[in-house]
Amino acid sequence: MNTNKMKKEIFLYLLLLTSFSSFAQEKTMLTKEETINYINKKLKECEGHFRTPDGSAFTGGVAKKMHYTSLSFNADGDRVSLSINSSNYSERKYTSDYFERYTTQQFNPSQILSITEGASDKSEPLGIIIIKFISNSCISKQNVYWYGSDGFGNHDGTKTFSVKESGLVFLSADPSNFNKIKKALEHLRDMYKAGDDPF
Amino acid sequence: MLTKEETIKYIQKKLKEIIDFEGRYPEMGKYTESGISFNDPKISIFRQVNYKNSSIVETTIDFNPVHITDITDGHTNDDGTIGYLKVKVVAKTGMVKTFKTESDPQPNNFNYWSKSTTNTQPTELLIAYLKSDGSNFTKIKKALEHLRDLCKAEDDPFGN
Repeated sequence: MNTNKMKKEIFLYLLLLTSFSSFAQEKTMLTKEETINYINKKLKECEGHFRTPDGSAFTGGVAKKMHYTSLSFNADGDRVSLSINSSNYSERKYTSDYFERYTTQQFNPSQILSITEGASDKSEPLGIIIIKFISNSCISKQNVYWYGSDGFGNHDGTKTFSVKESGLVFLSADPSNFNKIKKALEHLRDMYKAGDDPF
Repeated sequence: MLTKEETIKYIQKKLKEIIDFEGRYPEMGKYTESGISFNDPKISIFRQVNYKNSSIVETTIDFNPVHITDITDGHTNDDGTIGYLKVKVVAKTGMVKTFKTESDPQPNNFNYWSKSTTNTQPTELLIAYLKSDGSNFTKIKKALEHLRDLCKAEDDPFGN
């Protein structure tokens, strides 16, 4: 066989292999900013939808079904910030059984220990992703508002906790979403870990 | 091929065509608003119609174009001016909000107007369009499918 022809074929084969593997890598080679934007976009899919939290997070006979009005995921210095606004009725009510909850959780993605899907009612559009952290390294700030019949808002002060677990709601009605968000969070964790370790 | 922004602009133009036409049911008056807005990753398609009994109904349909599974014509066998595109989406991903303002019981007394909101999550979303232009169904269908494909291509960095 012609050696030149063989060389050419091997060269072409290698070129093809390289371009395929770089294409495959490109799919998950998003930057920190792009990955945060991707997760933010996934959170936006939840706006307007509802979820009934598992367990007895809310007592006193008030409605537990939480309606998500706005959600965001942003870079926040060395951390990321997850903001979730929700209310237990789809429309604001001026009665004592109504409340609005504003939660902000800040964490460094390098501290993520595990990402799993939490228990959810499968008949509802939203599910929850449980993010566990190394120690209580996630700062959770929560504000709860309610309204009197005079229309004035009431607020019992910002409550701040250090927690080892965070709940990220997602549109579980799209079955591909859990794996996509999990991969994005893992990718973000790996990038923060790489940047976090100069020594 | 149109970009995402250009496609949304095109759909906006098509949806606006129903303004000032009467709805397809006898109790309906004219459409006063119709259009689309983009709140990444979802689109909102809205319309407002004034009913002949003076009530006003605003409808907003929210969904992510990647969840479109099928688009059919809701009224193929009649010659009505307004038709509905039936957009089928993945179950529980679409949302329809209806905001109704009714004058009750005294006409033109705004103090007695009652307002009500309804939220539903149907699998089939109905989008009103100008049916009297025979080519509109295919044009809007193609534009929505193109938008879905553009959004799907963008949505894949962590897919599979």
